[in-house]
Amino acid sequence: MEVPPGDYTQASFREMLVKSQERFVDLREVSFLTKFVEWGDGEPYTLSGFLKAHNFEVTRHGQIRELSTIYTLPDEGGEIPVNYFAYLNPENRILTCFTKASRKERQKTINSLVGEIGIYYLWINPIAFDEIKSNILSEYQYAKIPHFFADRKQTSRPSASFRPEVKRSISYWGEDGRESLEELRHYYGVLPRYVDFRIPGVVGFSLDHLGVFHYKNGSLKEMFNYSREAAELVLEVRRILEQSKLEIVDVETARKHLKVQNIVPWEIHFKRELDISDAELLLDQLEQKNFAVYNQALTQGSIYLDATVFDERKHSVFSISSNQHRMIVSPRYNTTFDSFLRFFEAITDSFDPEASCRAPA
Amino acid sequence: MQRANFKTHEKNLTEPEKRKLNEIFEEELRAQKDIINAEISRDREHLRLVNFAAAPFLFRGTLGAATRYFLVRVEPLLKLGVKNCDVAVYNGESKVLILVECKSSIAKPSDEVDHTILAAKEAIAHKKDLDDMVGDTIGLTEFVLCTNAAYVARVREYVTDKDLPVCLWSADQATGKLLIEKQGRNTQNEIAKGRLHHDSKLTGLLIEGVASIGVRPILFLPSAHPCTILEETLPLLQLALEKAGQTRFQMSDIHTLLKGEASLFNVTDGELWSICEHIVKQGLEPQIFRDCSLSTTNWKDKEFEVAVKKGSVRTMTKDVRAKYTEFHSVKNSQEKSLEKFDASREKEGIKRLEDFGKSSN
Repeated sequence: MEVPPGDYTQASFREMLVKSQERFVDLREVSFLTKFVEWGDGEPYTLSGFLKAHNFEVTRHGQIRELSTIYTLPDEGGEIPVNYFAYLNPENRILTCFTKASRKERQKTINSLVGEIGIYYLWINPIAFDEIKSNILSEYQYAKIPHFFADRKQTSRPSASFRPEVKRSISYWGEDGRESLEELRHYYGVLPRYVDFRIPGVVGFSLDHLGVFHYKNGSLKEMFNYSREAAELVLEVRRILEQSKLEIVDVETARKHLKVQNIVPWEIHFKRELDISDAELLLDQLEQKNFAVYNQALTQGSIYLDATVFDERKHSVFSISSNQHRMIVSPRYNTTFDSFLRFFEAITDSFDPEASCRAPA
Repeated sequence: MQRANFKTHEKNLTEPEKRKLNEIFEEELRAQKDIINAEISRDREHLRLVNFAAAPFLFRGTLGAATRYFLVRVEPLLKLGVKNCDVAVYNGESKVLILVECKSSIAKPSDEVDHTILAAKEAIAHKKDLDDMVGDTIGLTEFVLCTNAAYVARVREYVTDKDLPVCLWSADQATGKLLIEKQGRNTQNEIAKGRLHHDSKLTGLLIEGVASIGVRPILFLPSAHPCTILEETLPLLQLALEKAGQTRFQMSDIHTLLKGEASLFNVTDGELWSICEHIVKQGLEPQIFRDCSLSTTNWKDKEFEVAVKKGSVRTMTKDVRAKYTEFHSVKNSQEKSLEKFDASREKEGIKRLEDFGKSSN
């Protein structure tokens, strides 16, 4: 992707894109939640340090950085240059990248950052995804969904009229996508992960559950409004996760400073009840998603599940305590919002897509 | 009885006798595995109850915030070798210490209550140690037996009959409420007898019932089942070793981990070293750890290696459990099966295995 040279602010960069929107058909707005408020100068554990470690060259264009790297084709061995124009918002710590790189190219380049501690996709949980979709469709009664991808995990079992035990995925193309998505959800229990919106006379864009917006036609500015809305919904979840903490308070007595724990957990509320077989399946699924669950106590009847969880990707440790209605997640070691977000994603993916994240009452 | 002894004895047997011994052994092995697994489960049930009782006393917990009684440490009588006291809760303003013993199930109320009374006597006899523990001159110590709601009625009957000085807390885990069981009608009389707390606010809140939502401030107790402690510490040890680029560790590495473990706050350094030695010794027997410096006798100078299956943390924690269970079930089964075998031979008038080679006068 090429842009006119210049020192940009975030606003002027977006303005430039909007003004020349016909040149930026197929533009992707790819956002990541990060822990960073600044880029750093390439030192380890800074954002620019991580980029350097992942073979990115970083060039400054005012507040915007151009991130360039090379993607090597697996079969042919050819090299494809891939670039992103990125802005790090110091207030909400979202890294927004504008690119024309395809999904495969992004997977092989920028997405590798997600393996680092303190960086995660702008993952839109199914409830938030549904909210965005509903907002668009209610605002524009004539909006169309010509293409969507929806799936259903065998273990997650949202209600479905037909063969609820079956794991399925549906990629749908058709003029009646808007209606079909609702029908397929009702009858086959599938939930959308990717939706292509066409709002005649306004904008055409697609959105996936990892927060990637893909501009097709019309008003790019309108797409930016929706991406801002999506980011707000995700940030609401992050705020809850970041309030969660384990702090040590000094309590003074006549001759000592006693260390007293204060734990602020976060909660996952289930839409459907967790029973013993679900819990066993869930533990199994969590392990497949690289969460080591140990020291677990699982009892039947009014179900109780206590365990310690080690996130093998993000190297954090937290403990969980669950009954049939909700799971309390308490931080322990090195817990970061991205590890918690990954865990919440794993729960919605493996057990209850309609589970919600809440701060303790 | 050592494994070698079992093999030695086995060698002296005829083929039919060997078969019989092995049949007994196999049966015993299954039983021992069940016993160990049941012990681990019971230990975790106990831990759940301890956390249920302790969580409201976190710094901003319901009772911590309202009454200034804080959870200050686990197993406060550990130094005295008394295990029948799980947590200490202290109010530095009123100088009142509450010692809480948790029993997740109660077979014979008299035994459990008597253990608590004995622990209380030990605590009173060693008041100076408790003063040192909180760094204060304790004005009053109260004793609590906390059990699951289902057992409370039977315990209350015994406590009332014997007129014992124990407060009784009822953990209703189904509703998530911690309550104090009012034993007699005359409140002042009950306070004087040590069956209600002197702090009327604390008593009042506990009579109403305090929410305990499932936060887990304690991941393990020093006298927890060795398998629980090993499973809990190994992932952190492995993480620390990976971070430092080391494969070997010393007791001091475990000590560093335990010092930062919130479950063990306010435990003395001497006690922490004893816990470290306990962990290492429990890990060495089933070859979860390997001693790399056999010629060194001082435990603090020795170097060890983690000897469980390498790979993910979940592989490691599973192997900890497998190795521990295998080692102890085999060890116990060998002892038991030889005893049973000998008993069956004695019944048949044949001499005991260990008497082979001895002259029969």
